[in-house]
Amino acid sequence: MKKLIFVLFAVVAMVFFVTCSEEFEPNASVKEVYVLNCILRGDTTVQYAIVSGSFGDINSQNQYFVNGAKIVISYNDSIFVMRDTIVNHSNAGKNLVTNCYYVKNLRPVINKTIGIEAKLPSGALLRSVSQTLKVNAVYFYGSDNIIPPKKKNTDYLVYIWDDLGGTLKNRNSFFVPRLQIFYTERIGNKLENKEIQVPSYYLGQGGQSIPIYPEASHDNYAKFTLEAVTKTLKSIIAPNNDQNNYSIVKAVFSVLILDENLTKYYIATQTYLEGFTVSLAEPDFTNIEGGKGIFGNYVKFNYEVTFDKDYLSSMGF
Amino acid sequence: MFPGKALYNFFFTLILFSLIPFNSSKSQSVGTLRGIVTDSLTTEVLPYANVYVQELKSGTHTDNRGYFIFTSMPSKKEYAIIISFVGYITQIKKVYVNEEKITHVNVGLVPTDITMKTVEKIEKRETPADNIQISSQNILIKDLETLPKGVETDIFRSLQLIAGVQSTGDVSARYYVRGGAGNENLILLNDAPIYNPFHALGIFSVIDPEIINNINFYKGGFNSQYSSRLSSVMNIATKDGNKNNFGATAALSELTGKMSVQGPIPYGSFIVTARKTYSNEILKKFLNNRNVPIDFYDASFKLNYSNPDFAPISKFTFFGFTSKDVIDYQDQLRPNFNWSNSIIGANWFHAGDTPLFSEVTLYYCRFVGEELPNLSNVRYKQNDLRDITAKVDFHYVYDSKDELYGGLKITDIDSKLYLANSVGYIKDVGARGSSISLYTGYKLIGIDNLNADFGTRLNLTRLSAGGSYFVEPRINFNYKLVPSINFKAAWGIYQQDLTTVSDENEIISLFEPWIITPEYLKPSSAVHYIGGFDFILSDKTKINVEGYYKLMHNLAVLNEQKFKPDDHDLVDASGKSYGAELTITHNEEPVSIQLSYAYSWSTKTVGYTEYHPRYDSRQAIKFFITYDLGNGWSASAIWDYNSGMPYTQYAGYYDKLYLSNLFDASEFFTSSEPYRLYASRNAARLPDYHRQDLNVSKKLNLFFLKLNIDLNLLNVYNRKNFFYFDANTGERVNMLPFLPTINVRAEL
Repeated sequence: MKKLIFVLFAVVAMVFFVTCSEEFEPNASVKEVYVLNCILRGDTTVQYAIVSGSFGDINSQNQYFVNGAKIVISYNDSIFVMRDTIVNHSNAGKNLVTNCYYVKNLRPVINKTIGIEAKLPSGALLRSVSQTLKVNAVYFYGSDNIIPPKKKNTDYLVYIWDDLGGTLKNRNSFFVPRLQIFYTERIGNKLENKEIQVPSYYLGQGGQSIPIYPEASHDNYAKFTLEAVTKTLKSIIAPNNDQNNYSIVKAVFSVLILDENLTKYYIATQTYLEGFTVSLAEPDFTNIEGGKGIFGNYVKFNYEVTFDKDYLSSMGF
Repeated sequence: MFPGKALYNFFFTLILFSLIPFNSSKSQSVGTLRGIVTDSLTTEVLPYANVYVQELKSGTHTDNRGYFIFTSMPSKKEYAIIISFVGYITQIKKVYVNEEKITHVNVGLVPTDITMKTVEKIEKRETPADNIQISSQNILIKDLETLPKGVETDIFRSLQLIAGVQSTGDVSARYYVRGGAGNENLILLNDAPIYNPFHALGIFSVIDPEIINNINFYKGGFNSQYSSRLSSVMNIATKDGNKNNFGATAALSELTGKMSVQGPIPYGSFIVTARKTYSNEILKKFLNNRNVPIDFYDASFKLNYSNPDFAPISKFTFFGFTSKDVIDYQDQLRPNFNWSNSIIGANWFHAGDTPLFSEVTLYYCRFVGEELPNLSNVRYKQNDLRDITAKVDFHYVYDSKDELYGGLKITDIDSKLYLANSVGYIKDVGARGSSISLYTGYKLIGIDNLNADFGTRLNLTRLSAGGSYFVEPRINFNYKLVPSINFKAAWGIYQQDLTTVSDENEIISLFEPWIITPEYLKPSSAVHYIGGFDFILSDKTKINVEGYYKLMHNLAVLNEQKFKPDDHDLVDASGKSYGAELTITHNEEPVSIQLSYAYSWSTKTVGYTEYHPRYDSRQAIKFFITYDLGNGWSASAIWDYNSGMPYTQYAGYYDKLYLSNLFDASEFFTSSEPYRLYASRNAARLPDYHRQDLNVSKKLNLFFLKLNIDLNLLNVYNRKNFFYFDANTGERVNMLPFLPTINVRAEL
């Protein structure tokens, strides 16, 4: 009897469940989300915004740009209405067209409250308020203005920047530095202006030399090894090309200073992997009320750097 | 600041307990009987054996060291002591109890194949009076050996047959107890913690059952003896080794080969076990036929020394354990992984001329986990945790049978967590800390059918610097309404100052580092409220019903709002779980049946978001039956059902702007990429999980060998249980299909 119970248990369970497999639905209905991106640049008076909506099919070629939005920027007791337009640009060799909104004659000045509001045809309202940066001018005290540096026994170019009061560092500002070399290349009878970015240093790994570019950070200084500059200069001259076709014009050190919201967004999308974090997923920062995206601003400062003629000559320029 | 007031309160309680036994009785012309019960062949201690004094009509059971004690026995008399245990011939021993002295007796029980009837004869339809602890289970390894095995006997998988213990499927032996996370379970091997107790991506436990004597498992309400975890305790006591004869075993499964050697040494014994993988083929079945080149081994040893001339009723133990897993793809473009545990420890157990048991334990544990990137785009990570602990425990039994226990524990933990950034710079973000904790408790036995165990832990310091003291009061009690019904309840506060750093939603976690809870967070704590009853329906049938409510505070979870490098990696969360469990066991030779049902509900709250954690299955039914067919044949079956676990559905995409080069103004128009949107966290439910396994085993003697051959049929009706959804391919991947396995064990 008991053996029978045992066998019955096994058989009954098998019969009941042998074909049993329930469906699994990975997708819920598409969440209605609107995105407003607007980054005000301190080096231009034309500002752009893009409004887009969520979608379900990742393979679709459609653009999810939202037409007909009424976007206004309130700034310094003025209202700027954005108009829709089309921007042509190229990406990876392809000519692309992007729908966007724009406004002219808007260049943010320091330490002002600035707001954006987008009323969408669906009735959705996207809003954000930000503060323009408190930086009017930046000084590059003690920075190297010639390559190679005049200081003896140093293999580094150092760039340090701060405002007049020396408060930038203390305000936990966020900086994106870059050093570029500008040069001309003769192609046929034409001189073409070109530029190339200089890495901070080269990392030797697996027999290869990997360029490491300066990272965006809260540090108000950047360093570049002379070796990195030299390698960059040498890389300008294409193989089998006459080095007389090239002429070095100058180098420019540039730094972008980002506002707090743009800083968070930038780190969240770009550099969260750069820190010593155990986070596994990309965080999704937004300061847009009612949706996603970013409303922020940045300013840009340049510092010109010259080259020592003997140094350039030693490399064939 | 020195916690003067708390310390004063603690010691006041301790002194009060020790001086004023609550249930004192007259002690004129009385003596004490103490004994240890062992297997006469293997000399291993037998925990939870029944010991009954016929003349007094009083019984108890041995503790997990095999000891029993009767105090306040009228002395100068001879008693008949009946000692019985499932699987052994009941022994009646005549013992003369001296006045005002401890009479010590050693009892060696002879194993037999026909046992159940013998035990039932002396067991009464009465719940044991001194078993106060609710939500506890004592597990003998021989009980596990009769159940269907995944690939080989595994303690964690067997644990999942207990109501209230939840797994997330076939591919992980990781378990979740009553709504607590996996890292809230304390796993002790001879009192030393194992930080990462899993082999092979979590499919198996690192502890070879060959070394295990018994397991105490507490799924809540554990008393003040245990510390540093919120949810459950699994205390594994290893075998001592044979004091009389040398012996060896060898076993082969489709995954590992293993062997053990044991035997006597002067005044003691030793046992050594080792296990190693030799094939990965079977693992492919667990991993949807994917080849993961896992290689693992583990080894344990224990040495015992007990010289009555040197120290009577004392035992010195020296033990060790090591395990290592390596995943080496032999491909420079893929990362490799390795992780290892090691424990070395010593213990001195002493039972003196008074009813006092004392123990001094020292151990050193180390866990190292590494992710080696090679030329892949992942970054180097290493977790190196070292735990050095010294502890003293004592246990005193009063004439009234009341017990006082307590102890001191000093721990130093150095948890290094090395992380690399994108240019390969490596930085240690771990911490080192020490903690001192005291505990005491009092077991009050038999006042008008009421028994209680109340105590407290006092953590004088927390592991991370700057912490203050923390008190963990706990109480367990039972009330015997009628001999067959025993009500139980427990309440307690529990603290945890270590946490793992990993994504709890990961299906398989390859790198799960342990760190000291950072200074910016409070240690996690939990409050348990548990109530229930045992009902002995008949000599053969028992029913256990329990309900629980658990509140968890300051749970350390990954900060999903970490936007800046200096934002904290972890934030605190709170949790809540409640549920009810019913377990019915029926033992009627030769059949043993257990049926359990659990209803549970668990939520976590991070910030303002409340969600169900991934292991929150609402209902679970577990059924198993073992059948002794005779002539060395036995069969068993398991059916395991869990209602669907929560998951988060996809809810479309939006075009997210990725900024990599702000100098390039055109980037604003060109660098958007689809970013996945998710529906409410864990708001949907996966299909239900269920599976049936069958086992047939045969014991036989072949020349000088004792052979045990197991045939297992896993997932006999080939249920397609959901494993994961591959978002890249849109493929649904299922767990283990129908799979037959075979094991052979030979004993010399």
